[in-house]
Amino acid sequence: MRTSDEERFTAFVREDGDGLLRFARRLIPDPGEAEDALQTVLLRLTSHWPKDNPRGYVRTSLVNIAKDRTRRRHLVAEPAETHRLAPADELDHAEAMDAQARLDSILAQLPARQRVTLVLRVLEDMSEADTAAAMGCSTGTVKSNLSRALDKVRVFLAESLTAVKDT
Amino acid sequence: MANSVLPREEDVAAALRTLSDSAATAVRAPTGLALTVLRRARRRRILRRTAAGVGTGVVVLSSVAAFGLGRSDYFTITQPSDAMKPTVQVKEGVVFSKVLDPGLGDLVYARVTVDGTGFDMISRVMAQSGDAIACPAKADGACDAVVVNGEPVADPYLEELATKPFPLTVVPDGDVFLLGDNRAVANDSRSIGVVPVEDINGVAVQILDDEGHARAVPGAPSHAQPGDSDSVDPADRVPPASTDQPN
Repeated sequence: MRTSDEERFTAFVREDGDGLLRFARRLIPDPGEAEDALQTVLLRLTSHWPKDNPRGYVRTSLVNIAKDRTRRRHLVAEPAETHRLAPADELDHAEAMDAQARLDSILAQLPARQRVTLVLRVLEDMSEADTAAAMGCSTGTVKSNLSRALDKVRVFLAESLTAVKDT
Repeated sequence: MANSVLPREEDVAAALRTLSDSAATAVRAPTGLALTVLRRARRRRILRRTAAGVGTGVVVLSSVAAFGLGRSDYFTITQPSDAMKPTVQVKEGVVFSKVLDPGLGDLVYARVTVDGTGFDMISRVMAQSGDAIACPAKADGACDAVVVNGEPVADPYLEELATKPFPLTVVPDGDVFLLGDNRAVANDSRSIGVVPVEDINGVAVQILDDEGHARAVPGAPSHAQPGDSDSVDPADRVPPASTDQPN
């Protein structure tokens, strides 16, 4: 990598880093693992640099990592108990942190493929065909995964609501 | 009853979207991310280059070693038959050189083909290109000694000089005439004819008995022995250290 390439790479990470890390966090339950995955993918990107669509490359790689991460179960860290009160060092972001923690706890209910499907279809607003292409499966699988994921989330939300009501 | 409490799928999706939008600012990439990645990439590049260099070195060294160490100018054959008695007994070893050219009197290791079947034989060169060899019968039908170019050969290493008579053969260019030392039983050029020099794969330099002791080949010219060219201390006496040292 030449110096000019390194500068362009740095600019790309500064520009898109937040969005990509957010994407990784949604796909992967453990925050540390999500950051690790992003770093790994960026490292892979450096050996292909310059790349026409670096953002697309990183996102595709992250999806692949997320949907295959349960294949080697012995290497997968157990997702840590997500704390509702994440260290809110910036008071301005308290609400955002709270929302993030709730999102984490909801998504933590789902197995890897259902989770990836849900993130791509609902949060990233991708079409069924695009999701199927990104995950390397059929649209039928996308549909069933999505419906199972939404079912689980629905039940979880209802349970948490009743739990709140009961106490 | 429980079902009515459950929100609909669209509501769930909408709720998730809202949640994710409001969480958008919560996740920030660490400031030094690009630098960290670039440093790791650099380190990995250096590591790979080093590994490639070391790997190439190991491959080159081992192939040099494989070519250099695996090659020898000598090989040993165990005598399977009594065709060379008494020079070589059955089960004794004969050390052959791959590089020497066969000369008159040499024991050789030859690959011969008879009726389409190839086999290896150990035999002695009795006549070379252009020589005339025969064992002429006397009046009583026996032959005292093999005659090469009109001169009887002494063959002092033979147990029994007497040989069954065989007619005169003039050896063609590029061929040799082989005779086994045990003239009574040996299957050699008398029956299979002359042998091309290219079919000779080794020239004997020493004979090893059952205990591994080497001895010279009787009746053959002397050749360099295995190990002669090894870089060891000279066989001569080492001169003593000088005694007239200054005090």
